[in-house]
Amino acid sequence: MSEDPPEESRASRVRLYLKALIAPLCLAMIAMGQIRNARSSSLSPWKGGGFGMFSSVDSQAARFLHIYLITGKGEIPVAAPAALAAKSEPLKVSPNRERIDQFAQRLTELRFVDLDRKWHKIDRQVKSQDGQHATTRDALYSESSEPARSSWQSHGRLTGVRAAGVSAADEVVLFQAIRVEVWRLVYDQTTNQLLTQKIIESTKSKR
Amino acid sequence: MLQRLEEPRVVNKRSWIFNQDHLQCVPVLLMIVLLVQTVTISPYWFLRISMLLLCLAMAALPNLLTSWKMWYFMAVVQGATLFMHWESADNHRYLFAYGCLALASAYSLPIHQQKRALAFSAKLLIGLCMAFAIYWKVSTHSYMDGSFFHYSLLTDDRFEHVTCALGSISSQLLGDNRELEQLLMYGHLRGIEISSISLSDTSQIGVLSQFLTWWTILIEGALAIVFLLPNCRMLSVARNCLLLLFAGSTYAVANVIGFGWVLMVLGLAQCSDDEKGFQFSYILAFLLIQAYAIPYPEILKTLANIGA
Repeated sequence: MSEDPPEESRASRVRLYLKALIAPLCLAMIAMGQIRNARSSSLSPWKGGGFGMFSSVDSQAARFLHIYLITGKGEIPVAAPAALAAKSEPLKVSPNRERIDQFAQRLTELRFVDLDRKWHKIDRQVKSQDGQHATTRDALYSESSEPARSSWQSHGRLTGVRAAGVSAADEVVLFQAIRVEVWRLVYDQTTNQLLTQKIIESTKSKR
Repeated sequence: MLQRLEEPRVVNKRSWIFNQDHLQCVPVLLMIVLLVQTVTISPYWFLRISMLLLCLAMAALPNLLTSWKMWYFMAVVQGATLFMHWESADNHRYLFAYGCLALASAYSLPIHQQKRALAFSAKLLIGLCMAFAIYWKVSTHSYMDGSFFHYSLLTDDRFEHVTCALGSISSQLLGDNRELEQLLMYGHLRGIEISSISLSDTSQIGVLSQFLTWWTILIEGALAIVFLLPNCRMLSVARNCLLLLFAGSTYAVANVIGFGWVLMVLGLAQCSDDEKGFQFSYILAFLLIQAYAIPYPEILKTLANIGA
């Protein structure tokens, strides 16, 4: 305190430290809330402002969704639709009953179309029109330099789109219900194996 | 006579950098961090547009850089975005908001108190951030037994250069590990339902993961202690040396630019006036963190291809 100007009053110093404490107090309160949330729910330690990054395998990248259309002929796995990307990320990071039920409900409102068939149909049409070689969607993806994750996800046979986005060329798949599962990766160092563990699941019928 | 004329010049040349008031540098650097990290990278359109406008206003009217209202507004914009996306926002985005709030608080005080307030806030922010980071690590079993770093070295592409260099494993095998991981997660979409996979590994990676685990515990623990203890001269030197060592070592392995940058800005903000060498070092470290992110192997490969 020797550097304080002599005229600085006690009240002025108190005000200084109170103001300087605002940001650190916000940090401490939010971080403690995050610890409580992560301990009591399935919030990933990496997220929520608690500075738990690089402390656990259980990051956002190690969580994933499995979505199945339940049809009369069995279950069909589908990729998480881009139309609901804004909802699927929070669901992975902090899954709970309310959030997964809402997400499953939203999925039942989508139409699931077989993009592979659509592309093959377009490919056949182009070939029959000009008789030349046309590039199929599969060929395009095999030449792609995209990272593995995006190519795996986009290879899902069916894709969910909003009703307004369905065109006449699309083949819509009929289903009775949808099951959504949130999973995480678990690493067992002793066996050097990467395992999967289901966190929560929800099934919603199509209205 | 000649010597007399030259002496002041030498002093002035040296003092151009060393005589800069670091309280002027802190808002400029934080603005650069926000401009690069939120305007160009942030996934939230609301934040991108607001921060772009605010940063442009600051660049056009430099007086705004020391306006508490401006920094308070920036903190509110970032806080609102975090409130809407609290689960998916990265931790350094929280630190950006706290940095803005610390500047707003400091600039709302009389000029002679601003540096002290900012230094006090910055010290606590760094200390608390490290304390919570160390809490998570120490309380997580899969971190303490080395599993986290072992898994990251085997599958995370951010660690690939270190794993290849020190772990005696090829880039090809690490790529295969990542492919297998993707198969485990999304293989069901192709009818491949598997519940576990075995990763390619070497004994050196096990040793490396143990080293990284304990090095991180030691340095983050030491940082938490020295930044949360009350001020003294020796401690101040230790704080700066440790934080610079942390930046130089950690971000060479895991380059998280946003976090590294904001830590360097906070490090600069907590320096006292007479610590010119450390102030300069923080600015250099700020640049070094960016330099770590340059993809040197790809550049060399491209140059080799051009030469061929």
